[in-house]
Amino acid sequence: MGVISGIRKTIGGYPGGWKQYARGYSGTSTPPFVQPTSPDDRRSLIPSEGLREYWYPALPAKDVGRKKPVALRLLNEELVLFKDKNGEVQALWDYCPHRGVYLSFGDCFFEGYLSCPYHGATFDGDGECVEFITEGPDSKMVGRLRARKFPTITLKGTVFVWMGEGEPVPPEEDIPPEFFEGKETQVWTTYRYWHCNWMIALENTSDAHNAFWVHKNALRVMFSSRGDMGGRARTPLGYRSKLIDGKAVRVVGNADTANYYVDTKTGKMPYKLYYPRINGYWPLSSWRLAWVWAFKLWDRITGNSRGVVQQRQSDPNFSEDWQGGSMRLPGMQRLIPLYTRWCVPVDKDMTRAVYIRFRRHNTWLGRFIESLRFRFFINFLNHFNFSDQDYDAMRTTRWQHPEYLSATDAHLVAERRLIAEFGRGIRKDKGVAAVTTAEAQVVEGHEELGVKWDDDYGQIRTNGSGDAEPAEAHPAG
Amino acid sequence: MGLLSGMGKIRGGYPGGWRQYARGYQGNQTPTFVQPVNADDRRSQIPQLGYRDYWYPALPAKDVGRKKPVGLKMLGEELVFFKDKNGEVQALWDYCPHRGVYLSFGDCFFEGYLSCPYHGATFDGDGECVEFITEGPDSKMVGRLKARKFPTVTVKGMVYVWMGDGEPVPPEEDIPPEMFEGEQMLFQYTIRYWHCNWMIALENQSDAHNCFWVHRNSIIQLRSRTGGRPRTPMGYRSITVNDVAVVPERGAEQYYADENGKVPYQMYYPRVGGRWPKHRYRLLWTWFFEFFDRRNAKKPRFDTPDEWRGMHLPGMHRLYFGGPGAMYTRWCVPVENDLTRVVYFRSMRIKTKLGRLWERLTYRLYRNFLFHYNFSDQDYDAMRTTRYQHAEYLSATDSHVVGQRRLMVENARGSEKYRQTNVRDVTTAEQLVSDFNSDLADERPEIADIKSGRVAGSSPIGR
Repeated sequence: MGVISGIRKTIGGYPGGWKQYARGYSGTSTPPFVQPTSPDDRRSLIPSEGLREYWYPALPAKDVGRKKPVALRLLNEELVLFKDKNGEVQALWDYCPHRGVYLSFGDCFFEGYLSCPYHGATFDGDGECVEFITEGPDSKMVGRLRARKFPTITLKGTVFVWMGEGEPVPPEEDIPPEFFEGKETQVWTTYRYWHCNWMIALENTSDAHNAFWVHKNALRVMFSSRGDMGGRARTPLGYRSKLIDGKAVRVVGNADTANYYVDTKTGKMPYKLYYPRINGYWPLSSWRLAWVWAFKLWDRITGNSRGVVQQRQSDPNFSEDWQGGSMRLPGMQRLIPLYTRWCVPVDKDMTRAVYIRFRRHNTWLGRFIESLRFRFFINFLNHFNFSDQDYDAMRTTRWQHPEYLSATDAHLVAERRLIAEFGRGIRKDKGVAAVTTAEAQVVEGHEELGVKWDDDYGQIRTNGSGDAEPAEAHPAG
Repeated sequence: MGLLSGMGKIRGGYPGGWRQYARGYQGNQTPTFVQPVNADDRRSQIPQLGYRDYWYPALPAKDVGRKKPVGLKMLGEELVFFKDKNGEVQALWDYCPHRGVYLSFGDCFFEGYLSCPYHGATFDGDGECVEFITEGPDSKMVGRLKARKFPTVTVKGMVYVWMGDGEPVPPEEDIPPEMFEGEQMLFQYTIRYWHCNWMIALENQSDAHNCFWVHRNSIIQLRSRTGGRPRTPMGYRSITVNDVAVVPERGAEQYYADENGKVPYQMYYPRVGGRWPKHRYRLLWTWFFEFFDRRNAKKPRFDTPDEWRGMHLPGMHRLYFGGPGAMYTRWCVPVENDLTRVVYFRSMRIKTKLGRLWERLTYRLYRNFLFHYNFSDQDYDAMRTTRYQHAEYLSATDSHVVGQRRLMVENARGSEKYRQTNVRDVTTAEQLVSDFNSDLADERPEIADIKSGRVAGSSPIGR
């Protein structure tokens, strides 16, 4: 026994204490995702590794070089991406059909072809083995060996992959329309990883009112034109959601909801609200308003109407299912034009959040300035400073236990119903109650506040006899 | 590829050798705990995450602040602790019933209430949602949403949690009685983690005679003439008290005593042709300390009911250890299958303020280190590498281990829930203990009257 290990044995972890493993071995690391299986839970219908048979964004095409392939996991499928003869990014299953090694450990020794690192099977962009280097040019593997190909399309510099078994649908069906516009439309993407399931990441965006809680110190909330209400207003009512064409659920007419606490005399939303049962106000202090005022003053001086532009939710060029304020299949939340969050499943415990922002500018200079704004400012503000504040809450959300939903979770109910009923390739044979307990809680919450919305998707209609039945299907059919 | 990784590739692990993965991937890390499932093994009926329906010590109340909650895992259950309106520490399940996030990541923005970090559901000490901040004061979740509460009681600054589904029993049943006494009862504690199952940590404590082996170089052993508890081939006789404790009756220790009643320091082992200990140098220390020991020997023992000596349900050991007049409690609280939170208590009755101050001081300065680190941690490697899943071969001296396992599977609350595996009345390992002790008693009738090694419990061997 050496001197050091002797001393360590003598000290033996002194002085110890309960803090070291207070939470057990795993500490505050992310708990593993467990899917519920209860027939009383809509979430048991949602595939934990994402909906197949859709186009998904993979990576920026510029990050795929000509020498080395790139490995990427998508919907728990291992892909390898490389550039083919025409410079197009192609995707194969990251598995050599010969002896099963990672093709992504290989090289593109011959430009446009990917060679396996083990025996030199060399594939073209369609996954055909065009040469088998270690057997020389007479190899019988040529033309027989075939790597599995995933169709790809590159739009505005982003590579999209068809993640399905069947024939790909036209990309216009699944990819936001701004990607198909001309060069006056700039599209930026930002990629982030979150250690949580894709659905948890998606549901986070539909939270109507936690901007005032989780995001209370986000810069965006502080200088939003509605910042004196702390971002989206507090309300006990949920947003109404409308089903659009079996492809999206859109929040409609949220003014009533948002204005619940407006003072009838002044017509203004109070900044602080009094909570009698804990005898306190939230927010605890008003000092954040100093920021709001400062930014308002700045806006008045510069004549900028910052908030109004950014809150715009609809675009005349788009069909209704691509409008803002909606959740669109297979898994994106759109608050256009400033923010589309596409939650791309990596595996059941990890999500690649792909943020999409677009702007239209006719002049070269306008586009240049907009790029600078994004790089140095907007990107950080929206996707890092703001959205990452939810990270701890998302990664510790445990789905396997029953939940107790509130009226404000109305949009979340709508999203889940959309996926469970209209998602391509969803298994419909699992029986889940027409109205689950958690969904009934949402209705109940509304009804007690005197609100009956029976025309909207996601709101569950209750008829006179009190028997609950789903309100969907009707608009769908 | 960087320069370093290039060099690494070129060298490729050269020059290799068998040592790198000699023990396989896991090296000498702690092997995973695997519970036996075997009709011939009493251990198959012991729950690996501990017995529910008991009060367990959690953490010191002073470590729970008014602003931030504390997350703590016990018996595989994630808990969150915070201070309620009255300053009492309360425990809830660390799961917001609304959307399932960790409440322990939240804050106590309003003193006495815990707010969820996600949507601001705000709970009182009973787990009732009293406000739902993000929905404003009119929220319909108020009074409906309910977080799961775990009852707590704070005794002498230590928070105990009722880890059960049923109605809690009075805390006096599960918490050592001296904790409810006044300020003259000096209470001190230490909390440690061991990477082993709670049962292994608990059984370690009932080892009669490894003091002379594992602990031979610990400071407190050097102070004692016989090197701790003497060597003996006979086990302790264990007596079940009130179906909640097994208490060892010491006596078998005299087995090797000479005509003066003294156990020799060195013994000769003829089949290896040597003595143990190998030399007598350690006695130099012993002589040095003997002066203090003679003085301390006059102090009376800590007065405690019989059922609160020995191993007490659900998983603690209590003995006269830790200085003159002190009572030592080691409570093995399961955290996970492979992790035990070892909560040591040290109880002493001292009348004067000055005396208590002195004890606090010496405990901080060296006694705590001496007992719980220098001494107890020497067993650590042995405990964490104990593998439960294979058959064991017990000796006569393991009689107390047998006794405490039987106490648990027969008398612990809810023990019937863990009897899916039907275990024989007397298992092979238990029979060995019994046979060895009977044989020894026959050979040495002069100490047979102490009935060493009889196994406690309601089984036929104990009677």
